[in-house]
Amino acid sequence: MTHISVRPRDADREPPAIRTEGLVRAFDGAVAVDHLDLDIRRGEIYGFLGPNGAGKSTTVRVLCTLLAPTGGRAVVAGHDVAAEPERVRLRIGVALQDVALDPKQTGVELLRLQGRLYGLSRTAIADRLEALTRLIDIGDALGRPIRTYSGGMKRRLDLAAALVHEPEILFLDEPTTGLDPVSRARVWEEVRRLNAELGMTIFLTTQYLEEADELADRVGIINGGRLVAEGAPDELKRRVGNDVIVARFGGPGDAARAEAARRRVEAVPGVRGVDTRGDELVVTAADGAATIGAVAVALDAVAPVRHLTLRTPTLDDVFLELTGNHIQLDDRQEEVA
Amino acid sequence: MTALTIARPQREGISAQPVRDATAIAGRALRALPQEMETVIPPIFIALFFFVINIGTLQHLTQSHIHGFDIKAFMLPTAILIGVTGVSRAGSLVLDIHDGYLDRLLLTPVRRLAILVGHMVADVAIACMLTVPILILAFAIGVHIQAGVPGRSSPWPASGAWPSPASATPSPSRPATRRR
Repeated sequence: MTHISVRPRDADREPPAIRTEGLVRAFDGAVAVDHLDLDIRRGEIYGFLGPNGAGKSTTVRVLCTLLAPTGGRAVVAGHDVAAEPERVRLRIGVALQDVALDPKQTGVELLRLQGRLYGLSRTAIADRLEALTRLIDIGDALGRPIRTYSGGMKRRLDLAAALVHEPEILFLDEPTTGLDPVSRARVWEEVRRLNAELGMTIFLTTQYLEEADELADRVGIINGGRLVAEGAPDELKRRVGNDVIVARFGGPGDAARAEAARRRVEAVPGVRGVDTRGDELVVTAADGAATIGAVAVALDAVAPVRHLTLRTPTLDDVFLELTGNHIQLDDRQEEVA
Repeated sequence: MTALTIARPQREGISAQPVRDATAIAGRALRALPQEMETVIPPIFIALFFFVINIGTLQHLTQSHIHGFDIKAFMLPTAILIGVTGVSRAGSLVLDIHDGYLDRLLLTPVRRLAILVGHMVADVAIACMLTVPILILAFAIGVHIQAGVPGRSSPWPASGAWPSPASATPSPSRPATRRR
């Protein structure tokens, strides 16, 4: 994993960038965020990972002051989101899940207005425009009405709008959803750069496991509004085991075979855990290379295996271990800008 | 996408600038006006149409029966009211919610009141602009305002103030959520 994150030296001694204590947000009795406790250091990239409806976006909207908390407390950049929302807004930049742009304005007009609303002088706005134009790299299109932009261009302009005032904390709510792989890689690169060069704290929600894995210093996994796990990606993956062996049977009636195979594989030395997912058998092992042969022999006695794969654990394995479910991805992730 | 290389700028006095904020938001609304001519042309057309029609149909009847009555002068404020009654940024506010842009505005340190006032200021400016062609037509057909300059100036603040309550009133048809 390439990781360029640079954390300020005094980060551990400084007050946290984001702290929530028993944060609750309910909608007509339905609890979207349930007693959430977060402690995010300054200069950290924090990945907030979870399936659809887990409470990621609601958490972001509360932390950004767009929603008032129903219970508990949230402090962002040293200010309480309920008591001092304007001070919080001054210090944060936000790129929401859906782009928040005015299609009638041009890109330049939108960025200028953002600068004015943050109280920047004309000179400062001109400087920021120059820098942001290089950042989003959409060429002359910046002078065109936003309604003519492609999805990827809108996403990049939305990011630029969040950065006009150079915030201390940047909230990115699923920033690469709907982007093609090249644009996604560019956003990743820029997130790393903002964090490394400017020491910006970045709170990133995502459904992409690899995104959290690639970018985040620490990952919080949320499910049903509750934080189910938190830690560095490698640390979380170690909880599952060092290696994962996946056996796929395939074909009708193979879910039953997988169940039968589970009982045999559990007895194989070196196996830490066995789980069945439909016609798949997922085996965690301390040393996958040393165990896969014995697992193959044990499986062969039950049924022919179509695919046998050895890989390192992913955050999906962590999520599965903690919740019993895979992370369900949003359909929109397949859209290409 | 290249790096953000400039130094972090100094933040200047932010937040407590309601007039500046409202002006900026009003400016944005006025800049968008050329793209929203469909909201301006019908009210002005309707106002001019009824101004002319009402004068044409009622002039003989009223002036022959009421001594000293000037139907043209009487119809002028009616035409102005007809013209500016349709002016409201409420539709634009709904579009801002629909497009998600209201969230972007709400995420700035601007006071909520400044956002609303900004839209209302734009309404006032548009209403004043709509009054101009009606006044031109009125003067062209011989309306005389005997109160001098104050009288001639009075249609602007009056017409500007008229649509403001409509702007400030939440629309019952406003969508509760933005487009997904």
